[in-house]
Amino acid sequence: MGGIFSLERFDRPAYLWLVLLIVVFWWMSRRSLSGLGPIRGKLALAARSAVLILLVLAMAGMHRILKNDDLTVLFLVDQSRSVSAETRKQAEEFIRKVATGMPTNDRLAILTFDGATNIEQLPSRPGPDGGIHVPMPFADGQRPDRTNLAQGLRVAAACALDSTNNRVVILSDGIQNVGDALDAAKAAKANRLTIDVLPLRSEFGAEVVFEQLVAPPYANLHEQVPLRLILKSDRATTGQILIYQRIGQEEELIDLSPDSPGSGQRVTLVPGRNAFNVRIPIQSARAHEFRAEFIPDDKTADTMPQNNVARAFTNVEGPRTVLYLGTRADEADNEVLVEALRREGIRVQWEQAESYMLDTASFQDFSAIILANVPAELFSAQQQQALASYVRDLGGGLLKLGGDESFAAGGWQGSIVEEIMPVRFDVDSLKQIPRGALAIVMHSCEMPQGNKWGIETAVAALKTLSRLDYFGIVGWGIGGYVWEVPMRVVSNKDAVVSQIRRMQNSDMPDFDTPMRMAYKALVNCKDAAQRHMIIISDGDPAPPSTGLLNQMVGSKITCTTVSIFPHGGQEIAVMKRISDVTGGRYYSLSQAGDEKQLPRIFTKEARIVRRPVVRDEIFKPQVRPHLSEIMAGIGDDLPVLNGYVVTTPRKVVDVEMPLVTERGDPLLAHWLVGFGRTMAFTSGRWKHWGTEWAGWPAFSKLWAQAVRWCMQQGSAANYDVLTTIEGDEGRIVIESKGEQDGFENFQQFVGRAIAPDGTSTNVNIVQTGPGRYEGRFTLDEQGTYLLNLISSGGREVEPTMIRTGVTIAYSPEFRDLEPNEALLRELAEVTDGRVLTLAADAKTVFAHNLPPTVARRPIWEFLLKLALFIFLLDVAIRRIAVDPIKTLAYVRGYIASIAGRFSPGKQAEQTLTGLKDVREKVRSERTKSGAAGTEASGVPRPPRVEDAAAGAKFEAGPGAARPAGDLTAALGGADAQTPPQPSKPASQADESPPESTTARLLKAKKRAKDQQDEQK
Amino acid sequence: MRNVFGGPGLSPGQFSYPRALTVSPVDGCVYIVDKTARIQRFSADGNYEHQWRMPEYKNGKPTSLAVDGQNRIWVADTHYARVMAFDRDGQELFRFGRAGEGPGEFIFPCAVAIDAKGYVYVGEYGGNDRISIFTPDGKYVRSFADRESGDAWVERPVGMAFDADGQLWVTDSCHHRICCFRDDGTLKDSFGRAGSGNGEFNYPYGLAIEKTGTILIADRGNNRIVRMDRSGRFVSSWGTAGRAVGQMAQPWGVACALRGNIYCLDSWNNRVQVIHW
Repeated sequence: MGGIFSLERFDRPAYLWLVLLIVVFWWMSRRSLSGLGPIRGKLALAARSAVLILLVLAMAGMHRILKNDDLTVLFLVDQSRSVSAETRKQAEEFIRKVATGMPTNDRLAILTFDGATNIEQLPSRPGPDGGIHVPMPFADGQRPDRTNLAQGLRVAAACALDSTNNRVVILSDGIQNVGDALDAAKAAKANRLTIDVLPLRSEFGAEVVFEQLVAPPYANLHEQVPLRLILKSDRATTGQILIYQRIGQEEELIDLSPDSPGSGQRVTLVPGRNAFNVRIPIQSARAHEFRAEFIPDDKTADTMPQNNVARAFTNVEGPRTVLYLGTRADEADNEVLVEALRREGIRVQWEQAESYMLDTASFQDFSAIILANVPAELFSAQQQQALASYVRDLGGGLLKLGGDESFAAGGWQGSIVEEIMPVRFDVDSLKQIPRGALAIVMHSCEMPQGNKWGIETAVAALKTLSRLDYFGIVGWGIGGYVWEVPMRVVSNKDAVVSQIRRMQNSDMPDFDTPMRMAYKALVNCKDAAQRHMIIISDGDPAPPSTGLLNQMVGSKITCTTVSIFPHGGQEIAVMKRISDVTGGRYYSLSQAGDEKQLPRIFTKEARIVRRPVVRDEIFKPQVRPHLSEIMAGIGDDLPVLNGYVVTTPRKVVDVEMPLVTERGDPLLAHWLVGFGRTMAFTSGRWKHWGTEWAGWPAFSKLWAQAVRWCMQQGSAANYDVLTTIEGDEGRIVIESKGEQDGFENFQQFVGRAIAPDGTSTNVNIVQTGPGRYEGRFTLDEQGTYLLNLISSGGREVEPTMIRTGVTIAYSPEFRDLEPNEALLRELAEVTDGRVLTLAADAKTVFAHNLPPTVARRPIWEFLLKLALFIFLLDVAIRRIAVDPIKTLAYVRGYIASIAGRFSPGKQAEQTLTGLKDVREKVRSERTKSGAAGTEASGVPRPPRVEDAAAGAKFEAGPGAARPAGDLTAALGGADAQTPPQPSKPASQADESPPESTTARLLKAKKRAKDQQDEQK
Repeated sequence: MRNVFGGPGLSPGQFSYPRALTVSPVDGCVYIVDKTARIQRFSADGNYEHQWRMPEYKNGKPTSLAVDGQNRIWVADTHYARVMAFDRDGQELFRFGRAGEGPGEFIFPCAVAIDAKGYVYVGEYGGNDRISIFTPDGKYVRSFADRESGDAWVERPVGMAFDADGQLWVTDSCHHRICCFRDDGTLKDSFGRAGSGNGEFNYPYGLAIEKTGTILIADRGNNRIVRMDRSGRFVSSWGTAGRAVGQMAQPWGVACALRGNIYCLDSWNNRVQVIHW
């Protein structure tokens, strides 16, 4: 690492040339410092030079170099499905073994990975159980259906300590299906990370893999659809293939061999790929999903059943269907509208929202979806996302009907569904609607990732509220119970969300205080019609007083309690009692994974305070000037309605709002959004609010026109479309044929892919040949991916919509089962690592054979502080003159005086000695002055230049006017020119009796006075 | 300020939300338990010496420690309804207690203290909310300060310590006061009320008694250590809320060293601040 001025210590070594300025500096300082004397001058010059050098070093970016031989080993453990449970266990045992014998100064970190990476343990030195501080076996990963080794390496690099050497030990089979681990390894190498690999080999035995099921994207009714089945086997075996057909929510087994017993088709597989064809008759016009499964005769011929299945689907053109979702409670209301639509010839599939599993695949069956007074909590966030994607990206239609469980009253406010509707569910002004008030007592810290879930739930609850509602959160912060979010009207939700995200709640001692705070705040919300409290806790805090609970009941404040992972029965009892007494609800989350229900629970609870947006009043719908085709032939005289949900119109020109209430609130509004259409009707409940509408002759006509407007526009079968799966990507190929020259070129496609979780991404489609277009999209997870493509049309082709998709039947982890040791070895080679085996011991894994880590720490701040200090020193040297002789004398005198204080006899003796010294000094000076100059002129000589220089800098110079005579004379005291008295002979002095010093001094004074008198 | 030791982490000498500390009257060693269920031993100077982990900790972690005259470490194993005793190296000596609401049973034992005769006093919360006395070999003697005790009822007694006269001092956390009990279990006196001023507390947790007889209280909610005399008079306080040295975030415990230093368990900052005050 070289010496102190090694160039490696500097960020900008070129600045070091500035040190040469010191020569100029010295030359300039020669004159300015010449008056300080040799020692001070040199000291000042040295100080100035040091300041200059320190400044130059700081400018050059000097660093301190720290060397460290300690080692941090980061284990990166593969948790994906391609690693068998047995092999994972071996890997964990290996880590446990080496962690037990690891050196005490080294550190160990553990990361597990599959499609995502999880940090199990940050770098830590060994503890009482060895180097592992976390429970084993490790929890299952978040995305076991994928392997993203590259991400794992990046996270490991981020966890590495820059103060130690770092070694990553990968325990994996090397099968990656997301990312590029080699790229990540090269980046790790650049960060001085070494990668050792320990290849894991899972023994799966004989295997049959169902590679693909190919079905045409489009078919006609009553056509025989050809299905192509491709299987791969590593040995010859026999079995049968079963094919299931799913229509809507039901799946049925197709009899492939009507002439023989059983429904499957017998097949014989040879080693390698095997292809079979079957034809399936199509009996209904909707989306058909096929699932093919291989069942081996000999169970030992196939180890993993997960990869024995494949899926595909085909769209069959025909009359379109509408999905009607309502709740059981509103069955009579729903029947009115469903029957009316059916009378108009619209195919309606009526389902109970509580039990219907809405997913992306089911969207293909329907041209529109009607949500009739359905609350938001019946749909997961993923389903709501899928619903929005269905409209925006697949061109579907959504009609939302009002009711006491709909719009904001149904908890839809702030949801992604609100974003696609033509009205906002929030209410801009009070409109005589009282506010709601919600207080949360947050004690979520006692569950895994408690702070995160606390934040998620609070945000979910907040979103559900109106901007006119009150909201507050009480928690235990650094200063005890605090309002993490003070109770207030949440007009600025973004600001409140920021506050929520800063929350850090801690262990709460009791419930009484925070509940009392929340109670008082709720009571103070005078204009709130609904007041509600939610407590999330493990029930551990001391229970609230009965008096407080009674006060809450008296004030009509309800309280819902959510138990999170309670420790015992007593805690549950405390939580239950609070909700029972106050009329709230009780939820218990005690199993791992239950915490995911929290946002939905809070959404549901928060909407309790949203009831005021429902307005039960009779009104006559008002028809506004419009261009809406829905109102064609309906007229202006509509029957009265008995209630509606208050919403706010979007102030954009795209929204058509042909009907409003007498107060001007939206009643019927619709617009185009993305590729699809949505409509909001804020009333409904035909047996309650709309009794007169149910008997109105134009009722069915109006709703038929409304639903037909919403329905998805027809798709075109003028294209040959092929979708395939290639690794973690889907590929779509479109062939467009014109009528005359055979190809339709230069078309533009806009494509969207909707993933199984409802999220959507753009698909870029480019022309790759005459009439041929291709695009790719990422397949991250298992399930059905829907594709919606809008073509711009061409010379002979109208603009049309193409819908297709692909299904991933099983994880790619089950497709490639051979370990990729070559990749692992390459990772080790790239980073100068090693290939380990399970037999390796702690000494090997923690071998200190890496070059010592060199950490650079910038020290510019220290250099600047030091420079400042020396600069002040320089000023002091130049400004303050210190006479070393006088200083020494002073110090001696001080020490002597200190010593004298502790010895009175000595003190008196020293006083006398001092007086003697003074006397002798006066005498000697008089003698000298008499000899040197006073006797000639009788005038004191002026002070010499050297004397002036020895004084302070601020003293006047040699040419300045000075008083004529010394200070004593000027004040009328004794004059230095007084001639000295002749000294007595030594013999006389010896003979006379000894006199005291005081007596001698008195005599001297008398003599001096006498002489003065004589002179006068 | 004499010393600061600890820091966040899982390594030896580091903490993850430490919840209790105590000082051995025999050798002056400091014992600290944190939310990883580790009990760590430090020298009086704060140097890490040894650690062990509680035998079970999935349900929850201990919240109180005490060391007796035989250098045995007593642990209130809060979420396992028991009290355990270890030697200074973590070897279990014995345990007693079972879950329940009857005499000698526990719901959540949250404090343990040993008197001059070796009797074990256990404070509880979560339903029982009382102090129970056990013989040195774990036999139940009696309980006091329960819900039926009127003004003597303590709710969440997290800190307990005996003074030179054999009186038991208790932090009655949820009532924001300090109680002094005679050796027959009757309430002699109580001091403090909710608040942040002098003579006020905001969930007092840890408690220790100095050689001079003054009482030290870890005033958790007010982020300070309070010193009061035995007549309940406020003497002084140390610490403010914050992360810097000299500041504290939720101090759960306080203990007196043999040499007169004071150990402040600065829980949310994962450290111990040693002061001479």
